[in-house]
Amino acid sequence: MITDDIEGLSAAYAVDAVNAVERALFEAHLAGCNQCQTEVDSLRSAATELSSLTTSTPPAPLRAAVLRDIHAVRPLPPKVTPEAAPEPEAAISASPTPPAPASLDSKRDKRARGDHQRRRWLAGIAAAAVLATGGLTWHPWSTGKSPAQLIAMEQLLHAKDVQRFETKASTGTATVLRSVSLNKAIITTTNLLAAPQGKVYEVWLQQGQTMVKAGFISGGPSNTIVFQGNAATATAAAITIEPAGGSPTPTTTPLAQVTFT
Amino acid sequence: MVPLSLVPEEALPAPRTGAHTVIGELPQLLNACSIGDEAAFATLYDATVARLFGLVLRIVRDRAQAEEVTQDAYLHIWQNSSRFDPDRGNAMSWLMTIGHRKAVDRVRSAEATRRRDTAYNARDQATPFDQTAEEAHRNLDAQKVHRALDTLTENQRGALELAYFGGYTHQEVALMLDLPLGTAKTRIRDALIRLRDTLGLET
Repeated sequence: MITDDIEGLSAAYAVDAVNAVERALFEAHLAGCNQCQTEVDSLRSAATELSSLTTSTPPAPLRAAVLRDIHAVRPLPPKVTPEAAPEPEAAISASPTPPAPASLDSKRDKRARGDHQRRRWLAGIAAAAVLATGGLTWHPWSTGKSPAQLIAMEQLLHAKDVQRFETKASTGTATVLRSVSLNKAIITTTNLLAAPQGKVYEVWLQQGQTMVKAGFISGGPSNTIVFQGNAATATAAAITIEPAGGSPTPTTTPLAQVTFT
Repeated sequence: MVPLSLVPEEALPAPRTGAHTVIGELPQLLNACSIGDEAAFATLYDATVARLFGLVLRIVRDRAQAEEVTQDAYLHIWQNSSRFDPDRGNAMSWLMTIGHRKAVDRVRSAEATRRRDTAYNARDQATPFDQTAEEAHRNLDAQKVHRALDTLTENQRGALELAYFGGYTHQEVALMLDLPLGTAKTRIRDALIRLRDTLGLET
């Protein structure tokens, strides 16, 4: 029962004790509910007090590293208005925009120190590039989603006939919520490794015997997108790795696939 | 890049005897960060890093990972400084929320979970609230929080600790505490509300 519970999630959400799907859904709800937003803000203030119990001084070199990082990255401009700028079709991050996905860390740790620094630097550039192309970034007081995205999620949340499908991929999970009556579906991935250089993750809806392209999703701890196309008539959804720009039909074996039964 | 300064040095509230004098200036510092003032950012970092790093370390447990997460969190803070809105809560809460979420996302990533569990099993499993808090004991804020925590029931406190410092989801907390699914989020809520009211906090 997704709808009934959503408002009860305010405290769990305030301390990040929600799973990726609940986080995405609750953020969709929050965008339109001042009461919940006020409650979350006040509960976060309370939770913040707990952090006074665990102070610990980090090593001095961290300071230099942080100051180097910020020198290479421009602060975001203030939000002006919900501009008329076209929304990117690709994934909109439902979680902090990390300079590098956590899932890369195991590889990163094995690399030489110089390479490590270079990757950090590149990651900063990558983050800046995302921002420059209109990608959105999460912060505590914004859901970081486009109005269209939020409307779709909020509608799904309240749909009587919402269905949930979940599958485990090699590193993470993919969860699809679909409403036939709304003809809408969203997919939330967790712990999807960053796509290899020059590749993207493309999502698909199966219509009859054909896989029809339905958008793109990024790697990272957690991402949610709304499927493009006819969700109601689809019989399955899948994610594949495709060359940058995407393919008209899948060219690789799906990383994750869910059948709508 | 020459750091811009919003306020001439001599106009800054004088002597910085410790982090506490700076805490009240966090909103102004964030504002200065948003227009590219790297010196203001350094001041903000110095005033808050022990708390943010301590929180992250408590959650991810591994020092090397905690440093990475902290570094990432501060970059995020710098980039998003213009999005801080004092009407929505205090600056410390904004900063800690960023650090907390980054830390939780890190422990939940598959590889990190494996590594953390290895480290976790290798040490004493008893982790009271104040285990990493050698400095905090001397801290008045911490004493106040300890007193507020004492007003919680054991159940509320247990659920809150697993969620906030453990980085577990409410479903996981329910399983760990052998509660009916859906009950843990209520406990967490009751605990936070009690804490908020005892500490006299409002947004």
